[in-house]
Amino acid sequence: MEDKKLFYTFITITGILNVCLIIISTLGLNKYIQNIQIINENNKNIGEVNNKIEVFKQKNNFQKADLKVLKKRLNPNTSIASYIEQLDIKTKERNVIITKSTVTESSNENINIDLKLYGTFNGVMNVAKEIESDLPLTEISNSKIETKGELIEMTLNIKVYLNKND
Amino acid sequence: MIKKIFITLLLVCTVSINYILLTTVPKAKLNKEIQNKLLDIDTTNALIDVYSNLVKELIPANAK
Repeated sequence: MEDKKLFYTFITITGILNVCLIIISTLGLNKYIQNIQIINENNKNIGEVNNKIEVFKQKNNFQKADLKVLKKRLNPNTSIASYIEQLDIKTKERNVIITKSTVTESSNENINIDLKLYGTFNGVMNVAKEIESDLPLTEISNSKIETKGELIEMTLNIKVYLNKND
Repeated sequence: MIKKIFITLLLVCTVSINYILLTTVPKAKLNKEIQNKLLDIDTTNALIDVYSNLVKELIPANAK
């Protein structure tokens, strides 16, 4: 009789403890899954922020370049003249001289400029590249190179588009 | 008898260890700072888009 009572008590206690164990395990598993989900979400957000910052940086640089070009094209005749003036100062630093800068044609759509650069081969080439990068909507055609001893003279026909939407 | 006491004690220990683990492991929190940053970047990007569209629309009209 005593043994039976003890046995039932044992079964009840272990049963309650097992139920407690199951409840605690379920709660723990639930917490673990939630934590993993939150950590994944945080990592995803961090990746997204980094990507967006990269896109933002590129966009910001592009906008700056875009605005620079638009500013140059806002008042074409004066801005082109001032650009050539600036170019003249820049080229002198590289021992290149602009011997000719004539606007041959000017319209609302484009401006044609004849440019002659005189100087060392590397210097002249660098200046030509610089013009191309400074004015993205530019076509350089009919470029001729004449050698004069160690120096060269380069003739360029530059067509600057004004109202082309890129 | 000893067997029964041993099993009960083992179960009590397991339950208490599990309970301690459950209460001590902290709950992860969503990083609100990152979410706010995401919102900031989205807003700034949208503003830049609006601004650049405005510039694109206004500048050709002025140039003519």
